Amino acid sequence: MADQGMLLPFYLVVDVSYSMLGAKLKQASAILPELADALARNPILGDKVRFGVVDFSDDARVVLPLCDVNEQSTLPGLTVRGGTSYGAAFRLLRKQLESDVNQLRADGFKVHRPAAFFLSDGEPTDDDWEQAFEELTRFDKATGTGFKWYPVIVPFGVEAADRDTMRRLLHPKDKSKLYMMAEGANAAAAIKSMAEILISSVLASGQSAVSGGSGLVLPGKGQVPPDIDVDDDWLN
Amino acid sequence: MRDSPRSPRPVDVDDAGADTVADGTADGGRAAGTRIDAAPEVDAAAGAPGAGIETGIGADPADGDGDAGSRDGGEAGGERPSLDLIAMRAGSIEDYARDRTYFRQPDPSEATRRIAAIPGPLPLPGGIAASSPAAAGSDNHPLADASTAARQNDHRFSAAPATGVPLRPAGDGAAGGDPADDISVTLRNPVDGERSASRTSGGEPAYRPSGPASGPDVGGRDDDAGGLGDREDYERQESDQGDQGDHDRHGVRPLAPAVMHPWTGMPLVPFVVGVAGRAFTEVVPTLLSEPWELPDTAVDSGRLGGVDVRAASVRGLSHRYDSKPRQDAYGLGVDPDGRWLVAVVADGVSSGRLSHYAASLVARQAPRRVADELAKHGYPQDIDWYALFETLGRNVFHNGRRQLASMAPALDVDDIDEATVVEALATTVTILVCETQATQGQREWSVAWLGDSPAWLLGSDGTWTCLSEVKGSGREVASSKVAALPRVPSHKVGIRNNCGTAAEDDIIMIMTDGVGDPLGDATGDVGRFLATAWRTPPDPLTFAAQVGFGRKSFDDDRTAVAVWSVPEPRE
Repeated sequence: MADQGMLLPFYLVVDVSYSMLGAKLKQASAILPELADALARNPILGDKVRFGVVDFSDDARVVLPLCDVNEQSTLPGLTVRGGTSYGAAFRLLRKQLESDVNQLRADGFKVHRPAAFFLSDGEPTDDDWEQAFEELTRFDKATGTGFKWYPVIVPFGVEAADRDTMRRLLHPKDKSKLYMMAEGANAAAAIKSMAEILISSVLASGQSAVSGGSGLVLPGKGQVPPDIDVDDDWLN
Repeated sequence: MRDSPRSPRPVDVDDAGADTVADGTADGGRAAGTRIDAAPEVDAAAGAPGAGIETGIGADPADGDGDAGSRDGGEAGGERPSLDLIAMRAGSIEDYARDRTYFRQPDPSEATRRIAAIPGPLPLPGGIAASSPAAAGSDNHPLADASTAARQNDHRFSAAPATGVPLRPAGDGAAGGDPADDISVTLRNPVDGERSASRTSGGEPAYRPSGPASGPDVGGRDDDAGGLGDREDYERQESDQGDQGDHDRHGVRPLAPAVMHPWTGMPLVPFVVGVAGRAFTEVVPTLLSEPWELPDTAVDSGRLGGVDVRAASVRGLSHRYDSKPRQDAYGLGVDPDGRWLVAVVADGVSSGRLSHYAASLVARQAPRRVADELAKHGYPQDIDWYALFETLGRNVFHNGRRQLASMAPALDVDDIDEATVVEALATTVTILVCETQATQGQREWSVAWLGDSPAWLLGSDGTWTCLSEVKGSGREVASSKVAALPRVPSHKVGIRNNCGTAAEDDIIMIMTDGVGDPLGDATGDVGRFLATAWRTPPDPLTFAAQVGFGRKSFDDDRTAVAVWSVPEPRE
């Protein structure tokens, strides 16, 4: 019986390959505490938002399980370790979503469609990630086949991340947007801008849910910092 | 020193004479300082009519271990049930203890005194661990029910978490109830350290309600596990405390004087079901930026014929936070014959910027229109609900359009198209018609609704029956689309209605989804809370506080109208 209210789950899936070492990792690590601060300032949203962090390189790990970030006494940081396996990230994300959403529902919460912000600074080193991505995102409502708790995936690409590859990560295409670092911009600064986008999206989506709307709210062209390009125009 | 300083004995107030005297007050206050002692002493020693110290939540919800002292007191006397009234305000006791004066001296001329007892995890300031007379091992006592957060409406108990326990002045048995002999309770006031003497028997302080700081367990006074009775201890404590300003370190500010005040009363403590959530504890309501004549909270109560009605509409946390108006409304009416009560609730759709206007319009107009229909037809079953809803919808539309035009003077009324109006104003509506007099123990009722504001019946046995429909039942992803005026479904069946009879003891209520959502299918905590709280009609402000209970993530406006039968007066 769902008597605990509605929650909005968000995930940050972040690349911790060796190339991220340095300022980029520092900025990526700062996302979580900044989000916690933003939610602490708005208790109405803070009660409704759950956030989790998954990192990936050669394998994927849960850095922070989906939780109320302001109830954590410490927030973990990120460390680099290896290559860039997108497949590992998607497999773990699927596994986490399944267990987290089912857990929340078992606890009596209604769960909004989850959203996953996917941050990478390079191309995937594995060839078979498409399979894992399929399994994560495919869902046929009519027949019920696929993954029921598929997330909305919002890709963030910096530095060596390939725009076309990242574009394939958009899901669903009509609800999501792609954010790429602008040409010639500084990668660490771009990640900081993406953090702002992520946080404002979480807050706006929460606010929209409170006001009776639904769906993920993502800033569009003209609403993002200058070092980020937004791709939200899908004709194909 | 007492034998078991960590286990203050409860005041069994009905045995005030026997127990408490035996407790050692006969000693004239030896080791009298144990706070728990104080109660019996206060009680017995001087026929203390003044003994009733009413304390609210005075203390930290102290750690589990430390509580053993005072809680045991509640149990030492013989497995008294531990009553977790404080659970209802999980974790925020301090906020309420702060800046509240919790001690009041009752009027000595009162025949009964109330001792506030918070048995359970809180060591009482002053350590009074009284329990109600019947609670002594009684499972039937209402307070024995662990989920007693909602017992507040029992008139024997104050609205505060204090449970009032009639305390017969020990003057019945012990040393006289002459007010002149009143024991004046010695209260420690850290502000100015003044203490009034007291005590008819012995010169020791009878009672020191200094909160957990002086508890047997808190404050690290392990040298003196329970009895801070000696004057040295007392004084040592004083200096330990130092200057705490107006509050001791646990935020309790005891009332200084040992003077009887001619007034009584307690601040109302908000209700919480489950976890309160940060919003409930942190949000400070903001006044509206525009005066829409909609108060933050509206309450009505009273009797009509053979029914007792409570109605309340409370602005939700999210609107309080965003400085938006309450978008819910209720309306009440009666047919000209006085036979039928009409109650209406309306829930403005949050995305509409004039939804509050729509809701209050409907709540005002619907009872009158239904009453007119009842005058014509006599029975709610004969009312053409669809036509009535159509009329309401038209009114919402036209009045809304005028309102929008007045807000944007550049526009002519006719320039505002329908889509704009419908986007700006939308409200659900649920109408209840029920008989004011039961015949042969049964009352007829009728419900008609558009939207997701449910109607429920609460049986006298605490079971719930939904009279309309439970929102989202069977659907896994709730749709955010809600049917709402001014749009009326194209087919008559779109306006749902239901009718039936209810037993006299049943409570019929309508509510908006601000209450309906946390209630869910009524099998959870909220259902149990409301079933307990609303067994009998509470006083109106308590009803409003119950409608506005705190529960994490439920921040919508809350509205409920509940109808009880007035019990037949017994000859």
